[in-house]
Amino acid sequence: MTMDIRKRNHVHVTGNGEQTIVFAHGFGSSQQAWKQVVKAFEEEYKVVLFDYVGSGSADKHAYSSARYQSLEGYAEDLIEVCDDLKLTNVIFIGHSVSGMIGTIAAGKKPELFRQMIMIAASPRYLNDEGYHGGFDEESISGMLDMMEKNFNEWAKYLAPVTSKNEDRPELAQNFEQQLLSNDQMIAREFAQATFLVDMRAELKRVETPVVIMQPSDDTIVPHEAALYLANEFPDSEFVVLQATGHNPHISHPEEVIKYIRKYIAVEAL
Amino acid sequence: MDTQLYYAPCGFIITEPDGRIIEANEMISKIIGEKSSELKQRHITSLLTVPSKLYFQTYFSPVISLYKKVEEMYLTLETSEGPVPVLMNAQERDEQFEYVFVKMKTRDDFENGLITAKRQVEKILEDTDYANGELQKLLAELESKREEITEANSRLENLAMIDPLTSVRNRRYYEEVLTHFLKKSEEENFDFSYLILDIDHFKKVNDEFGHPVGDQVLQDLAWKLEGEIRSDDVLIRFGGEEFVILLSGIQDKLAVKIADRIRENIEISEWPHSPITISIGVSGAQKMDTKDSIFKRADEALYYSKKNGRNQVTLR
Repeated sequence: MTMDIRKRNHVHVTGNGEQTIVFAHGFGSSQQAWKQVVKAFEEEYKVVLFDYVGSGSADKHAYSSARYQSLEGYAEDLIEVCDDLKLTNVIFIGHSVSGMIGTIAAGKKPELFRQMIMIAASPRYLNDEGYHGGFDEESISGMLDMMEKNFNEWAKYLAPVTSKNEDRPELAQNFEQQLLSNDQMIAREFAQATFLVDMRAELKRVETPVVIMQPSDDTIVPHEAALYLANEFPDSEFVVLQATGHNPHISHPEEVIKYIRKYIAVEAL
Repeated sequence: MDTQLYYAPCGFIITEPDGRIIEANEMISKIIGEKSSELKQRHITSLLTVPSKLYFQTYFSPVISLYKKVEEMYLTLETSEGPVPVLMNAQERDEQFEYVFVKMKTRDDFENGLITAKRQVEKILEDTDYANGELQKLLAELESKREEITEANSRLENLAMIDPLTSVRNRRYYEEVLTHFLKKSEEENFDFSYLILDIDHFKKVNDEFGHPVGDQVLQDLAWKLEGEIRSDDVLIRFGGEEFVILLSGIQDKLAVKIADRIRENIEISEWPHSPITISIGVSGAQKMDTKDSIFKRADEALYYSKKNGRNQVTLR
């Protein structure tokens, strides 16, 4: 069976240049989140944007609980998107959980990335003995409950973007109805895959150079967890952003752009 | 902030786009339990419980950056009296974020009740589904066991109708097949003939060479007889050294010829210890025949063959 990966993952390729940058979004987000950052790189780089299956405008029919019950499935998405475009040696920029999804992909296919830049990433969100992840199980399940209570409203925001028929609101409404049943489960499963991940043991094996960009007051990823990444990745640099919050690429795009330029492995020609 | 907004019956906060609080009104400081001046410069997420922080961080920024507003976001505030559920609306205006919070304790309790009930129903449905699945599995198992038993039974039945020494059909099968032949002859104008065969002086074989040789002779004879008949005909070990052959579709005159051919073939065939001959009684099926009547005629014919010097065929 041939699968149209570009359609499945709503892949967008823009920009000019020899070197490719792949941007990967985080949990509860989509490629839209990179809008402001991407603009700065399109002139000099080839830029690849995509949505993980179950997020944004990716094909919801491609979702299966079995494949996406852990981050492995999302890493498969990332690898398949790169393979489909015949990409190797790309610069990977991942926000939040995409840092670890990229790490899994790099473990499976080391030639895929020449460098990984992770923004607000964490190897494990749950606290453990001698490790401060920021959350206990209770707060994770509280978050899942919160998603459930908020879901109906949240889906409304998603609907017009995904159906792209702003002039025909009735379409959005139908779409919204479908979203309500499917997406709630998908979002919950993605949340579980994300917040129950533990990648600590895998970090030492990653040979790809990594840049960790950590916002100065990230309410999701504690400073210690980000530092843990920087210490464990064999080849890493650690950058603390002035930006606060978990979404600096949205809230402080200029600073994020500045540091990506500074640390990017290959200067644009 | 004007006085009315400051004392409005809802919480109101203004922040920088990065979330730092510029102003907070009286109601929000009342809910939180801190003076409004103390809330200044704090980050908006510092007012939230941990799960709400997680949720807020994940969804607030992406939504407000796309739509410049967020509506009806359910959150819980961290207060000195524990978590307080609120509904939040927010908008981006003049490069500032404005938030309104409305307490919804009663609604929240109600909704929690609904969610609990919904989960229970889901759990029950799940359990029912599971139980159903198990039941289906058991039923399928039962069905396959039943098939196995039916198969085993028919194997056993077949075994029970075969004579273990000669591997030809036995007396039990004879009862069934003769009934069937008679019924067919009555209903469908079907002809058949009944041959009863007996080894001549078989006692002498046993006495002279022992029972193992006698058994060997029976096995050889059964084998040879099997070679003399067609697939529609039936060979039966009737008991001792007696065999019955039912010739399907054959009337008595032709049956006699066949019987004589068989008799002759047995006589001239090779036997390891001593020559063997057989006597045969033949009877064609007649109207109103029963199992007994047809047997009796053939048996009388056999008796005549014996009495008349053996190694011959008699029709009755």
